[in-house]
Amino acid sequence: MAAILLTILAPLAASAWIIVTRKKIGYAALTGAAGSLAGSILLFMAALNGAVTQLQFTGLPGMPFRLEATEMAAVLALVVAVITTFILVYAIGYMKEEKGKLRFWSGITLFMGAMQLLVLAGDWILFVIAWEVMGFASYLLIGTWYWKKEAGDAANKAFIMNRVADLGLYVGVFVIILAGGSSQILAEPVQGVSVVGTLALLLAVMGKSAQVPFQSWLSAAMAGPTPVSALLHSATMVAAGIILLLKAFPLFPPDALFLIGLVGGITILLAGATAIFSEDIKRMLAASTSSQLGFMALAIGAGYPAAALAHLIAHAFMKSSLFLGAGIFQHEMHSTNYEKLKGSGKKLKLAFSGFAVSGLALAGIPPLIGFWSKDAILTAGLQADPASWYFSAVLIGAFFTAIYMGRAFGILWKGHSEPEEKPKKLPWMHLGFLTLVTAVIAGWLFLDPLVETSGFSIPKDNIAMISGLGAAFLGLAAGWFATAPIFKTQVWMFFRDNYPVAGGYTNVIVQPFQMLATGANLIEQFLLQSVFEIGKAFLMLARWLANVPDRAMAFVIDQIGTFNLNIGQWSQITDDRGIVEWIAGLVASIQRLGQYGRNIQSGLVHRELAWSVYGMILALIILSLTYL
Amino acid sequence: MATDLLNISPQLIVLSTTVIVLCLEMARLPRAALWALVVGMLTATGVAVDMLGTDTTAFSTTFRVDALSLWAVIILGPATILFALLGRSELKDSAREGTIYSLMGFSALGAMILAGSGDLMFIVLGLLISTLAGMAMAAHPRNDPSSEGAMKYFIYGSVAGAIMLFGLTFWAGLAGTTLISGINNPDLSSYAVMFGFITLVIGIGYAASLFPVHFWTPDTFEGAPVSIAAYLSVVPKIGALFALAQVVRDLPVSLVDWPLILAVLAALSMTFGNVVALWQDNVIRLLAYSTIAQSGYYVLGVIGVGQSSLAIDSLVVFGVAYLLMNAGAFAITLGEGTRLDDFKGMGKRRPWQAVGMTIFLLSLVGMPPLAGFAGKFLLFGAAIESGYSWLAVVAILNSAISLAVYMRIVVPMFFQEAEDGQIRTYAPGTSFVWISTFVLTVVVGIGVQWFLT
Repeated sequence: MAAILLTILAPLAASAWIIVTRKKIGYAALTGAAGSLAGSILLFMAALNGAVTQLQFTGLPGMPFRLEATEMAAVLALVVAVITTFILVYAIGYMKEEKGKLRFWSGITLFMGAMQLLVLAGDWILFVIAWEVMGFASYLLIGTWYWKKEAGDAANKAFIMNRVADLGLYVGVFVIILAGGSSQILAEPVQGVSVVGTLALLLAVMGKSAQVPFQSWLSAAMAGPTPVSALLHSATMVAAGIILLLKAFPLFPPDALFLIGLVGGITILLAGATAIFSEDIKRMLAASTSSQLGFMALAIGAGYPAAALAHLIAHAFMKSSLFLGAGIFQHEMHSTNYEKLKGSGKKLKLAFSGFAVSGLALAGIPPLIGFWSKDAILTAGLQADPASWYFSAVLIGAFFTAIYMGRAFGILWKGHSEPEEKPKKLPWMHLGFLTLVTAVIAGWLFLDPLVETSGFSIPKDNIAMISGLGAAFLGLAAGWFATAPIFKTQVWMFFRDNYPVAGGYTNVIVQPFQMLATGANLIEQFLLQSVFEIGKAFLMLARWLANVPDRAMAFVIDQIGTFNLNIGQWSQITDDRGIVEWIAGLVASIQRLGQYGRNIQSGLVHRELAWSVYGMILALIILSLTYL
Repeated sequence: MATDLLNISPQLIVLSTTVIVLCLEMARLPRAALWALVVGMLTATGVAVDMLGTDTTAFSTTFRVDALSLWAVIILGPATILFALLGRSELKDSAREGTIYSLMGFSALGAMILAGSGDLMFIVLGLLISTLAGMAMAAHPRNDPSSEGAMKYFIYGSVAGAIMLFGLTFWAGLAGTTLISGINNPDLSSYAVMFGFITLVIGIGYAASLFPVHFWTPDTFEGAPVSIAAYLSVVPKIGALFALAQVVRDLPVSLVDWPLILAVLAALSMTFGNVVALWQDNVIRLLAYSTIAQSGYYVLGVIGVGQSSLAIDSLVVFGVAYLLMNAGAFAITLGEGTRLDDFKGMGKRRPWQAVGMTIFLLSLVGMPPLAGFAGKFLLFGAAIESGYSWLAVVAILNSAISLAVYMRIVVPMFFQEAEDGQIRTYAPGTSFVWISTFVLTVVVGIGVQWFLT
């Protein structure tokens, strides 16, 4: 019981610590992650012994909150914790010279806590809460460097696209609770859940897991720091969609399953093509993520959650190490563009070999971890109905995967480019990176047992294995030898830029939201005015009341201002446009109010008040614990 | 109606006294205002003593006339007189001197209302009356430190008050009534009651300077006049803790484990107050942190409510003792100065006062046979009887730490040479206060022990 709470609360506590003390933030985050890791190991040990850890506490009337470490949840929690921990190790090195540390570390720990909550949620309400918190945290993280326009745009894009798709989750959960009368996540089918309800869930999955047509936020999200990308693209965020499918799997009728498979298959192909024609290593990896997530969705559609789970775990390790490797290249070469990275692999041998190992694994070369999981999905495709569709989609997808990895290897190895300075020593980054690469290599040792602990068995088939190997080798060779010019024609640009049909994202989503934002802005203007008036009234009242000297008055106002600023920093604006503008206005107005009294004594009312509130929350937690 | 009014006659007397005091201040007669306050408070105290033993309610059970509310009048009436005398000594002939007396009266009235609350509205009302008046008093000198302190007090009050109001709406919504007894219903949702209770503790803890809403205390005390700091350390606190006792009397432990959470806060308050006090160089700040620690001890009595027969006794006895020793210590600080250095060589210069201060401080530690010992003895007993022995152990350990704290004042008095400088004089009011509290600290200590055995 303690383990389940530790798994979730350790990173959240680290987040709170980081916001409050702002000291040793990197190590605090790492400690939180390590705490979560310890908790998840305990859960996993319990699961090995067949014990399901459960926790139940009062939630909504008649719908208690449940935390439940089922075998699958325990395995997933372990994977999340391992990957996050080592990404954080890497991030300590990565963030050393970057700005936005506070936002990054507090956000990433919050994100981890939310992900663990999502994995361990035993009821739909808690699941929705975790889903939302994670979405918010991802917004903060992608916008870590909010002063860059690109990062701000990306954060907004990710958030808005996810919001649209999240509607599906709400509808779906509503339907499930309405039909079953209980919010518990059950392992058996619930009578009366309509196809529409399950398709609503599929919509949410498509948003979160970046399936076509929602795939473009993922490559935009590259604007965040590399550890964030590594985390979003591997065991968390995008994985949340697949976890939703896994948890809701018993609910899906065959019709809905076929649709899931269809979405997955289309994404495999389209996103795979995007990856092939990318001109930027991180964008290639992003498109590849969509494509790989498509494999998982397809496996679920084919009726083989075991294969999806296996690929989820394998992909988490492969993609996180690929991103961390790409991050080392970026750190050394100051670019992620293929043009600038040509031949840099020869200079950065260690990073290149790690990257190559993970890439080969993703392409499906034995005995690396990806071989086993891709084999499982191929088998699933072969045994599903209609096999012609499922199997060919997977096989072509595997071929595509091999091509884009082969192309990346070719570019990184062939040609010539000079790093701007001598390669730096990056001990933390290499430690995190190489640990994950090791996991990719040793994957064949633990993948099977992990999936079996979850109560599944990985499907295997010889025909699938042989055809998969063939696709992998052929694709790698094609990618390695293909020359640059063929990737640059007009047609391929269409692939590369995520299929900008009918103006794409700009017309379909941006403009309606901008109209909404304009409306919100008007309301905001009014609010702003009122806040100002109220503030002025209080100022006059206070002056009249105590005849307080300006200095003291200004001090107090300044403190209120800073206090609000601190809150504001959390939701700091990332863009001049968009729906969040009114927050910016509010923060700025309070800031202006605070400027009445700059250069005054430093008092700490705001921090002390925050302590009071934390104390209150702590008291609430203690009290709640007495009721477990 | 008539009986209702009769039942709350002590509070009514305080109210009318204060109004008279206010009128006298408007007529620029501060001396007369002070005397009116003294007479009125003594009358109210006398009436309350006469009513002791009554246990009833007024105005459809919204106000409780019981041991707690009557003893609140008996303690706070004389307390107001003592602090008004200190205020007279310190602020005599300052502009608006008389406002202090009326504000003291109002604030005391708020505390007395708090102590008898049978309804959530009275808690809110009492808290507002007692702390708003306190804030105005704290800002009396019109200089930067005092304005800053008062503003801090005010901001904390607004935030804590807002949080409390927000939480209490849950209670009122759940129970369908604002009566505190409405919450005494095991069928209510535990989590909402829990939330309401925590916010209530925040609101009341602010007035009682309990951890973690104590932050205003040192700054406000340091900025305010010494007599006002003394007042704030005693009067609102006693009212607030009595109100807490009134609430938990009706709060089923099955709904919310309030003794546990209060125990945690008590332990944190004591430890925080004592440990931080160790580092202070300003006597007022030191006494402010000691106030936080003493609040922690005081909560032990509240924990005993409903579970220990000693609970109400301990609250009352510690209230009396705390008033006496704190008023005395502040009075002597008013006479000597607020820096630790001001106390150097006091043993030679003013042996009587030095001995008096030592007695007050030892009483704060809880040394037998002084009043503080009697109070703490009962508090610890109440905690142990309620099954919180660990808390009593923490409290006893803290008493040991607090000895080191108060020794920081005692040592320079007797073992260090005085610095050259102007020697301050004791105003007659100050002398009256420290001598009377000195005698009572000893007498009450011995008296209670005799009474108990």
